[in-house]
Amino acid sequence: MNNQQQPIDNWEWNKSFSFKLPRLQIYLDSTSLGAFKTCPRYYYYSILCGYVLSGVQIDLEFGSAAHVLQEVYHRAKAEGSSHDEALDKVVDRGLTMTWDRKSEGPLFEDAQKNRLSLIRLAIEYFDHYEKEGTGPRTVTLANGKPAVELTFAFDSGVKTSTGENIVLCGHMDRLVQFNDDIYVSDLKTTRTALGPSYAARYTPDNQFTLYTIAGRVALSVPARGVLLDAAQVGVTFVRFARFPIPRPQPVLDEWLTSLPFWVSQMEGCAERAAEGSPESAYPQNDKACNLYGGCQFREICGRSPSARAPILNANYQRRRWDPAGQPR
Amino acid sequence: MMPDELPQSDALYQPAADSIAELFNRDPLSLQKVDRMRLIEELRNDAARRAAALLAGEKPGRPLKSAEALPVSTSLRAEDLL
Repeated sequence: MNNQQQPIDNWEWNKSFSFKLPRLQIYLDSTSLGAFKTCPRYYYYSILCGYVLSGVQIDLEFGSAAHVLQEVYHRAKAEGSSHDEALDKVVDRGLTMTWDRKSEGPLFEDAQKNRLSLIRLAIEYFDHYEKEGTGPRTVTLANGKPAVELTFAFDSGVKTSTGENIVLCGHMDRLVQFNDDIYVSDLKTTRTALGPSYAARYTPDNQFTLYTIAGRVALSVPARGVLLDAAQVGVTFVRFARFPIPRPQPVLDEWLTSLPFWVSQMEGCAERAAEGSPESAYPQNDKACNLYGGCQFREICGRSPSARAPILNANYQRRRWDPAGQPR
Repeated sequence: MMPDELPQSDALYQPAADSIAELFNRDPLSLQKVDRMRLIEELRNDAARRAAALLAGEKPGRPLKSAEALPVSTSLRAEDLL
């Protein structure tokens, strides 16, 4: 079968989806819900069909790698390693995970986000914030384990019209105590300058609000919000800034109150998709095409529907999105 | 002095010392703990050097070519912009 004959829609059921209504996602992580809120068509392409632009997605890959190194560090510390021992493990992992054994060279070579800047970021970040006694303290959970690498899933209290519960799920890096408050810790890497305007973009924010709710509901800690560790990655430097991003309870309540609206919208789209033409059941929000540096599907949406499949099949890879089975 | 007027510095642009580059270009599985600890120290020194240069008023980033060295187009056409 050639590219032109392959259908756009290749959605397959997994346990994140309804048993009763095809394409209705009942395990919602912040990525899925955020995608739908941004643009139903973006959600359709990226989450339901699983399209992702071929090649290295440098911002995504770099951010993911930074999170992995953070996990390596905190896990090593939780197991009793000293700062330098944990840093050695971070560098070992960082060098290995960014090395392409086939080409015997680095996996990504962006001017700003590359192998060197990743290792530099890790060393300077942990030196800067995480030496004994100077960084936020990792919270110890009721079971005695450090609150590192936490997967959560909890009933939102919202039901679909098919009677299934909507479960909110996801994965957070760490819970920390900071200035007598508990926060969900999250690391973001960016190319843009750090300042109040950078931090402001996270209030309101779907992911940060969901993480705060998850801290309170699923992990039973009085999370005040998210402690954002932002790292600006330049060609020859990294800079750090830490921003507490609080979420008062009324804000959390309002977010939860709006959830049934979004679920009903998702359900409406899934119902229309079940009747035939799934792609057209998820409408474009053409006011979101230029967000975040431009949507990766802008070129697709700009084409006639009949011309999209060959481009999608030629330029995009497919992955399976299953937050219930693979939270990260 | 405005930030844009700060002197550019070759030292600040220098992405990594040769010793760092040497470690980065090796198969990571061939590196021993002593190599990684050396790399960590080298990068720490590199960070300290850049921080000191910044305090001295130098501006991070790639040194710009002087205006004289830049090619100047005197016949810009529409197709040049495509």
